[in-house]
Amino acid sequence: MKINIKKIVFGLALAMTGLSSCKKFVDINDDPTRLKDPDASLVLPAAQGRLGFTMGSDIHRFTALWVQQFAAQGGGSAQPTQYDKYAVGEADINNTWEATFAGTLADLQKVIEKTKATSPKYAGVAELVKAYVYQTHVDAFGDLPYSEAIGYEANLKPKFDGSSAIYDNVFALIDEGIADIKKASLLAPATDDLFYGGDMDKWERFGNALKLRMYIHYFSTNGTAADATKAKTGITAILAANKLLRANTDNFQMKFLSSANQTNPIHQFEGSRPNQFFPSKTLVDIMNAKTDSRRNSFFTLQGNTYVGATNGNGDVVVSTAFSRMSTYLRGKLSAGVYSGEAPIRMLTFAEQNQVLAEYFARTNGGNDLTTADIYYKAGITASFASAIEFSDGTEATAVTGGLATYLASTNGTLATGNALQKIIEEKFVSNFGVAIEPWTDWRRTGFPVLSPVSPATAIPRILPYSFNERSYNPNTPARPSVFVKSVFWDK
Amino acid sequence: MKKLLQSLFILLFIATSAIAQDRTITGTVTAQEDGLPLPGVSVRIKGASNSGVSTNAAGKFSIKVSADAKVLIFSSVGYSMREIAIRGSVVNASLETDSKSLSEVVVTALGQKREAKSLGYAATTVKNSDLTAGRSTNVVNALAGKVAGVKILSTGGATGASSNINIRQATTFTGSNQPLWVLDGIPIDNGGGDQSVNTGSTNSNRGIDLNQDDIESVTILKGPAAAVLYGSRAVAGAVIVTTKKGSKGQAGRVELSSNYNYIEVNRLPDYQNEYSQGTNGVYDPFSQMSWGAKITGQALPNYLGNLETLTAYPDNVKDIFKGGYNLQNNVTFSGGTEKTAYYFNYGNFKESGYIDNNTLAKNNFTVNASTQLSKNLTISSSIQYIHNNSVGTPVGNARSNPLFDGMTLPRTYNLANYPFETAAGLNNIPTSRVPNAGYTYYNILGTDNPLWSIKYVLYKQKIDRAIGNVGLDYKIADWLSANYKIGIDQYTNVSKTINEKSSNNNQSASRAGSIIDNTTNRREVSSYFNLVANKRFLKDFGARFLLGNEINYRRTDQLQVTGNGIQAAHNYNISNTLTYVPLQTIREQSLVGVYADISLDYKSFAYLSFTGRRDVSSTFAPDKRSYFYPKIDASFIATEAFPELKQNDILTYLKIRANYAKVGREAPIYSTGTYFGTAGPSDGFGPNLIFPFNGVNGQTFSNAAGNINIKPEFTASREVGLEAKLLKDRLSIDIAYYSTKSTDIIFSVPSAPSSGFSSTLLNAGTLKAHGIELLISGTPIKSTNFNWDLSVNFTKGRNEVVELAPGVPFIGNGGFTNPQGRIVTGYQYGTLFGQVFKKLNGKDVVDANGRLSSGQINTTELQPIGDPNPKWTGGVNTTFSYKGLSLSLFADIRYGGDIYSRTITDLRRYGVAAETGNRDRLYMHNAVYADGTPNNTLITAEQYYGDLYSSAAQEYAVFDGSWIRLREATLSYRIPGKLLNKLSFIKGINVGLTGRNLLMYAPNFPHLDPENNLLGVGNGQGIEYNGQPQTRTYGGFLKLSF
Repeated sequence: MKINIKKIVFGLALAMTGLSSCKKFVDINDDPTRLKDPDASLVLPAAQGRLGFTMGSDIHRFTALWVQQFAAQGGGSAQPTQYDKYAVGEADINNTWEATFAGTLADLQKVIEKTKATSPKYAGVAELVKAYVYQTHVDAFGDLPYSEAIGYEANLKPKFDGSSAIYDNVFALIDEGIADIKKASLLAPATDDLFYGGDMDKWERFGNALKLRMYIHYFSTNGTAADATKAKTGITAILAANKLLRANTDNFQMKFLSSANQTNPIHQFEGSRPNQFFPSKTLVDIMNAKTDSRRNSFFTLQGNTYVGATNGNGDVVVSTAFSRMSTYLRGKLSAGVYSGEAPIRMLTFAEQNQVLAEYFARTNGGNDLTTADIYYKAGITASFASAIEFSDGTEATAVTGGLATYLASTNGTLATGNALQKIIEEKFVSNFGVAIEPWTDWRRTGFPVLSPVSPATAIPRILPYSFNERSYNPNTPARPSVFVKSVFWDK
Repeated sequence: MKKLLQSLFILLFIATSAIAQDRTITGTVTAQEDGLPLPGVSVRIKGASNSGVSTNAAGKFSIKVSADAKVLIFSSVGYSMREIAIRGSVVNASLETDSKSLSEVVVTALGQKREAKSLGYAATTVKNSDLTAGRSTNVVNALAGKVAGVKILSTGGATGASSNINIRQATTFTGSNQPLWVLDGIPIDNGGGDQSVNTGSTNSNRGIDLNQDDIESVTILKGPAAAVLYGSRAVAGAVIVTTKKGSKGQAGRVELSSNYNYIEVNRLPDYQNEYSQGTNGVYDPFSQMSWGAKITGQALPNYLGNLETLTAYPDNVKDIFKGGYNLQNNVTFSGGTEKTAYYFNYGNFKESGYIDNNTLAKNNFTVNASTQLSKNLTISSSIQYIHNNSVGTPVGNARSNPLFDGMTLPRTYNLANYPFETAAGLNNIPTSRVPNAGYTYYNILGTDNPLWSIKYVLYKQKIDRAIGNVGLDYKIADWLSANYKIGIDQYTNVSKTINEKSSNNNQSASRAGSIIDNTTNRREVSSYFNLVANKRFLKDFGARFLLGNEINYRRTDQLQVTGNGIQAAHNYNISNTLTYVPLQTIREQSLVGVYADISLDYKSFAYLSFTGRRDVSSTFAPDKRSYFYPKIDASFIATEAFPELKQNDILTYLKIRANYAKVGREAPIYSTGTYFGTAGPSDGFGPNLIFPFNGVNGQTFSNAAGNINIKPEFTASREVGLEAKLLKDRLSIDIAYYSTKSTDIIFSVPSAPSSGFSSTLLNAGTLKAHGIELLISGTPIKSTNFNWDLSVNFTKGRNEVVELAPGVPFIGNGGFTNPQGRIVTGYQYGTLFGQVFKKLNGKDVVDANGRLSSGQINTTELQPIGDPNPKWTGGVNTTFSYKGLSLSLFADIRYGGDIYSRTITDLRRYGVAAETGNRDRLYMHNAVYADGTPNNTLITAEQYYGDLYSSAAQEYAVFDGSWIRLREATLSYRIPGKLLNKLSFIKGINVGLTGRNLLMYAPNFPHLDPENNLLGVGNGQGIEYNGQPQTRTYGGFLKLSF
């Protein structure tokens, strides 16, 4: 009996010793395979890559269908045919919304926080990318969380700021970004900068081009004199500083690769959802009317001609007898296969020229049609040059061969009366594949002239908010309808 | 802890002295069934406190008894207990096998064998014969319907399909509601049965690795009270699997068994065979619809450009399903000596499913042995080695799922009539509506030819698994023993996913193909040290004390390479791809528990037991990781307290039980922090972007925030139960009512993405559940040669989502954007939400054309469209036996439980279902116009079905999944011993026929068997999405023993 008790006590003592040394045994809740604080050089590419991808994904499809650069096909069960009929629901927005806020912006915020003090060149680049995100997303969604956004745990329900106020903040953010990239910096972006490869001069030029794009938005059908004055002041200052995009090589864009899952998302969609996303009849007809030789690289031939799909009836009149997008958006064509490496273009030299053309063509702007015409022609020339980026010799010759005639014709020359329409239609063509901006141009100018798809009587002027945002953030404003003017410049 | 130790020592010292013994009784115990001696039968003196003796290999025993001893009690697992009066010095006993005998002694948590009557909680045991009755490939399916309170839902009819097991309703929101699995005292992994909705093939739950023929019994410990000793991991209950063992002293025995089953689809849709492929009454060779021309033998060009005479093919879908089979063989050696016992089994299993390239092959080696090293020390060990090799084809919402439109093939399209691959063995899917002789399928929307993906898009998996344990039992004193057990469950899962070049799914961007090579290593080590004291004192009191410690360690190492862009087709070497995405994960967690259990009884009719357990879990921050929880349970056997209750021979046993328990649940691993991960932007349509990109890597901050302050979630449960045996044990009743309440539920609370996080891990939310369980079993007819046994079980359980988190109206628990299972305050757990049509006074609103077009869908807010939880479930098990012949039938009933069926949606929308064949008339939606006036616009059948079953609005595609099915049937014949006399080396032959799912009646569910679940073992239920239909199997078996 006595011996047994000893054994028990010994056994228990052993067990207790085991317990006291168990601290180490249970101190293992730190994931050995994931990082908690990676270098900015690892985070910046994630933010840029996601932005580049996003701008060729959902938000491009929604806005390019609504502004009739593309038209959807494939029957009623193909989601794009629903978008094409303006049925973009809150739930359809979830993916792009989360990618942008909890993805791109959250990562940019991490870069800024980590580098602002010691490596401001990183912070500056992140600020400029953030400025672009807000510019495009305010145009698409109107009021957004800005001042309280991306507060992580500290603020899970950020308030929404007015679209006009965000624009003002973005102007300041661009200035801040440009100032930061000029500062001395311990570390500086290089190849990890997927947009400009660490070229700070190009980032500054982009910052100014972005401001130009924003200022031109103040010119709107019913814009006020104050709006025009604000834009005029801003643009005058930018022109005076003379630090803008100089060529297509300065384009703000995300280059893609030809390897699997690294091709551009517009091209990938064509592979995974074939026969659902065709160039719109509206766009193709505008180019057909001008015998625009960019069609050679923009579209494939259908029969011996270029045929666009009609918007809004791809759910019932199912067909594949249309031109498809070609090398300009899908990359080099070889043995019937596209390489998929074409960039997602986000702000181009061609657009910058058309912005300036519009500014000078406007009587309440630069009021100088001659200068406007110079920019107009420069924009067309830049777009033609860009159009052959992935063309083979034959195609390049076909595109370029049409430039001189085009410039010399009334299509390439501005005249009093319809200058604005010409500029915006030209921009509509050269911004093929650019998300949001063509729709913004239509909303503020009414060009190109579009007919709503049946049975709708109007074209949407705003995207719905994300269902998740609205469900989990009580500060989300009510959104009565996508047909109501909602962005401050949409007057 | 200190207090517990003190009480232990107090207990140790109140030992009482042994009773005087003065004469010896001897005897032999035999089995009534075959007259063979029974070793290992416990023989004790009625009323005495000591444990008695056991019979030896020859069934003989010798016991010393005191002068006043009157009755001996004989008991053995598997046999009815018998009391025999002592007359003279020899007492022989013949024991009867007892179908209900396992209820007498129950293997409870930590392998503790307890008398059923002492338990204050519910534990139900299913024995081997019930597990192997209807021959299911997955042991989980063998439990379906057999245990009240346990819901089993099979994922579908694919070979290796997983099966969801849920005990007494969900107790947590997004964590696992699957019970802990324990094999011979050691926790094992039953993970792996989750299904992703958009990618992948059938995933088996790892319980499928077990060989049913190896299993002696499965005990279900229902809920926290029963499983509290297993701690945090058994909040959802525990499945205690006990394998077969040899018996000490049993002569060597060899058994051979073999069974074969044929597999077929149990229900296929009814099709129309009058109208061709096409739309608007016009033949269209590229359409997936069958709204084309009436078939009159007209000749038209098909998608290859050839002239084709339109013909209906009534069996074109049926032909995809070839008959399958499974075959299992076992050879067993078992036996023992005076001091040792051994059991060895080799099991070989092979199944080939009803679709080609769906196979599963298993080899199981089991060795169980124990030996008595010295008078007081016994060592035992059980070891299993399993090799499982399987192949599957894609499932779910993927265009390479052969049933994505395989169940809805156009009525004039016969797969066998056309090439399904190019000369190079690739898919060539129409890119335009211009006929082309090179196409390998008709579908313009990009779906792979089903025959092609069955042949080339495969998921191959090899499991090498070893489960083993070694245990030491040391009898310190008559009343005190210590035992230690250490065990391991270790497996390596090597899989290869082949998305062949030209396949169209989310893992094959731009049809470039991909290969995913994955190696996962999982290891779980568990150690238990227990001290058990058993003592009677103060004459009428008994005490049982358990003190123990558990140490558990789990580690999973995963190494995966995804290679995108297959270069040379049909070469599945990963280096034959262009870009690589590597992935490494290490998941390591540990848990240390200390527990104590004190059980007291008074005169063996009143029992009271207290358990306390403290866990230290690695998943929490240091200040939160240690937590305590208690259990108390009581049982009272009224018939023993008041023997007069038994006087009239109506009531023989009446027990009342009650318990309260609270168990803490661990947090998800690594959730105390927020990490970065490799960026991989994607959208819902397949396009994605992989890093490293252009030579740089990308790290993105997780959208899901961790939380350093997370603390354990607790589930408290209460239960009362009543057990009664009536009419000389011919009838028994077991009723239980339980309720659970989970608080501080740990889940990722959705947050506004504009905060930078789309979710944040919090302790929030309260979930309640309650239910009743009823088991009635009896023997209506009992005679010398003929017996009829009948048992009925009934389960009804409900959840109540009390609250989520402030400002959070719902969380999703599986499915799509719509339909989606949701957890919503005030609704049943996992209620299905989907898009519905706009309503006016409860009626659908049609547009001006009388159509429920896309504009008529209420897209602002998803609406509840169904409750996937059955209102009640039940099982009826009946056995007729006449001499050696026995017929067992088992019916499984489910009442209620809604299911959204994508297959039925497609069958109707595409115009292939029989009911869509009535096209000579016009239809009208039962609806109103926007102004409220009744709809009177007539539309075509195509418009009608197209509107109601558009994939965008789901409200009419939800069906009541009630069923009654003959789940299992077994007819067996045991050849009587006397016929075998001439073949003296054969001791027994048992032959029979078995069937599974032989009959199924689902009155409200058209076309398919409702038992189908897109999400597998996940918490979401009620969505069928182009799933592989359920099977019917039938075959025979032969068992020989030597």
